[in-house]
Amino acid sequence: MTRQAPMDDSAFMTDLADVLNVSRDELDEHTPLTDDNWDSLAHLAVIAAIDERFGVTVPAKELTACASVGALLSLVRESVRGQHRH
Amino acid sequence: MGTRAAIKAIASFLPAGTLTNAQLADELGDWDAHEILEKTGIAVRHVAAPDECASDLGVAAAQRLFESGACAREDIDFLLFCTQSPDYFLPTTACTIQDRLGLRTDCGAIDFNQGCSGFVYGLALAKSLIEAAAAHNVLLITAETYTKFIHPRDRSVRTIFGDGAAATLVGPVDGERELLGPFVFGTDGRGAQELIVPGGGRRRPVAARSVATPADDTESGRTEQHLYMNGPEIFNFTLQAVPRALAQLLARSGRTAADIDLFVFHQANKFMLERLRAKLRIPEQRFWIDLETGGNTVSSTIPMALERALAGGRIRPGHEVALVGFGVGYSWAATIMRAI
Repeated sequence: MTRQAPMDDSAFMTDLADVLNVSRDELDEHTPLTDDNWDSLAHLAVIAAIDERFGVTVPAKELTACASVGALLSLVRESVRGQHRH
Repeated sequence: MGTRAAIKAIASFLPAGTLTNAQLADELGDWDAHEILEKTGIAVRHVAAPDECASDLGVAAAQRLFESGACAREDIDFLLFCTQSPDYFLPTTACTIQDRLGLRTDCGAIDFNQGCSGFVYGLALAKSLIEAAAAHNVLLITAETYTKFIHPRDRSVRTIFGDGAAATLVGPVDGERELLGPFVFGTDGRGAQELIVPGGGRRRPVAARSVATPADDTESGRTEQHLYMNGPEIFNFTLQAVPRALAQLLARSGRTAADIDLFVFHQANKFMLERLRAKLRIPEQRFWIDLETGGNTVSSTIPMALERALAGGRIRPGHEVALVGFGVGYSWAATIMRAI
């Protein structure tokens, strides 16, 4: 694959807002993931959303360590790129 | 005329001790009982007493099977016992169960160590024994006491797992039509560390230090003698392995998902099952989710589901039921059973 369309993450961001219990407008790359909103159930829900929207898996250790929505999106982009190369 | 192996009867047993969501909410503090039910789908888990082992649960399940009149104990000529919490390193727990159940002494008996995929593995072994004419009636017992491995403060596993056993009679039916099978197996030992009790075996024997030292800096209280589960990684594995196994099973059997009357997967937890159902686009009415009483009993969730579905008329003669077990190992296995 030589060229790839930029990742369409709008549906995923809506899922993420839902999981983190905030409105979609409030959510951006700077939204922090903290002990209060980033618990084990949120991890599972986000893994499910990543699988559904992008068809990839993200290493659990790296996913749970994400401290912001931006870090999470970078991780997802990396996985999408990596798994499309295979 | 040929002989085909079939599931002829199932009886399960749950120990008397229980752990309710109200008790968990009380102990763990910040979770309320309703929230636990909502997320896990489990209302009550059964917990073996300190002196109650997997063999005791298995014997009780088998006694229920014999009392139901499904078969006489002297008809059993092979016993398969599936557990990861055996009574002893040795002897083989199945040998002690042969004696306690009063089975014949010319009965074969082995243990096999497998978790959530164990029931489907047991069916494959039983079918092979029967259709190769090495045995006639196989008693397959799955039994687990995972709660003994769990640290009381480790909520990630304490909310999910319960103890229990199931006894399944697999016997011969005259005819050519396959009643159990085909089978799909899968193994990926790279996942071994993600669901594990590291200590207590010969690699890391029980030592005073290992019993007292926390395994990590979380609040789980876990030492290396306790069960560790990397929930998110197990979920990743499941979302990949189960759809693949089901696709292989359907291709191998020449069926489509629409031909299957009921899908009975290992009852891991409600959230995971709902995600799998959505991913596989299986209609709700053909997908079994029932963890409310008993929770995740590891290798016994599938036979317990089958027992309930048969008793409630959800599975009727001629129905084809897809079974998929998946988890610790990683290990997975899938098959189709045709109800008789």
